[in-house]
Amino acid sequence: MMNLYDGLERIAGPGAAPTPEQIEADLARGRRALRRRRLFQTGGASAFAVAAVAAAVAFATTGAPASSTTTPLAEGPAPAVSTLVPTKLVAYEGEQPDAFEIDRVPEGWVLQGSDEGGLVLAPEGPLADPSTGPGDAANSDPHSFVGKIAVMLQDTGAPADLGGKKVEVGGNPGVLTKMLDQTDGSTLFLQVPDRGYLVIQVWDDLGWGEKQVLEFAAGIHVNENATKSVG
Amino acid sequence: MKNERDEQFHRFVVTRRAGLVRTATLLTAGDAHLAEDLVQSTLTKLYVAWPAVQRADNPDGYVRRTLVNALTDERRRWWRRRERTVAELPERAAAEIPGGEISEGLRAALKELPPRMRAALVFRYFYDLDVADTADALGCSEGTVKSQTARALDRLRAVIGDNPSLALR
Repeated sequence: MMNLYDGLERIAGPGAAPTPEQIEADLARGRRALRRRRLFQTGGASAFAVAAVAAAVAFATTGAPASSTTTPLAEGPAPAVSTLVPTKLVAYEGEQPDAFEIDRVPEGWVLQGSDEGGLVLAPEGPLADPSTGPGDAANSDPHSFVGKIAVMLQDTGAPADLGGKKVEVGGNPGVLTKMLDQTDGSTLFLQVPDRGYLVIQVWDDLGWGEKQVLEFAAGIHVNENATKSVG
Repeated sequence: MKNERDEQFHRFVVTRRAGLVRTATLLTAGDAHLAEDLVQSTLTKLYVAWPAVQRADNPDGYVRRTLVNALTDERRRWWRRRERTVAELPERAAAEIPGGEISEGLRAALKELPPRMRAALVFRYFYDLDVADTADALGCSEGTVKSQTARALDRLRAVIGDNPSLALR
């Protein structure tokens, strides 16, 4: 009979102390991520200010507040307003994947991968961000989500500590949030009755704000044979 | 020049990185490369959210959640990581595994588990976390932890044998 703890202990390994180089590299990665987040938050705040002025002007000229269906922000980080020009959505004309149906895709994008657990959409041609790998390697790899949109079905909703904005798509409640190292990208967790959560992850630098993410999400339909991703 | 966040983070990495690598290695069923990726991703997220880490009522819990999120949220290797699971492990009697290959047998068995089930097992039976802390790390209910660990043990019995001490937990 095997002792499970000892077996796991052997697999875990000795746990060597980190080298100074590793520590510096960890620190450098953290600093870069923080700088990127602050940069985009600053840009987002500016864009938000412009939008607020525009809304005030609209109010002054019409004499009535614009109606809004958005719900109050929950605690936690709100999706930043993107300063990039969003790619517009167009009707999807390719073959429908088995497990999901898709109404709209970003213009110039293709459905790169699909199975019963999810979809990956990517722009045609190389990605804009050269840090994603040599040439267009990341773009041609459906296992990579860098610079893309990933759609999956899973058991759990948004991690509570991330907060985010409560939204609604097709009558279903959702949370639009960002994972800890996302900057202008966002992740939508949409509850699907009896099916779990549809998760739509929009990578940074795509220029998509809430409107585009929700519009895209409204065009995703979960079929009977869709299965939940594990891990 | 290092600021206070850098100093604190530096100390954290010095004292905690090795442990994170060990945990990540278990969570990935012995995949050292993926474990290192997970640790790097986790540390980056922790640095960005450092004030929240410092404020957390349960900093260890925060770190565990971040590590599990790094394992499950992503994006970069989602397709590759979604290992196909099988209902049952291949038939293999414990007695047929030579002693020197026990770790390999366990590693292979762990790899067959869905990642979150594997994580539940690791937190409960290696780190001895209680059900509540394991549920907190995985972001699921305590009932899910119990059912996941029970199913994990069922699947591992071909390798670890029918160990009664595990059945009591």
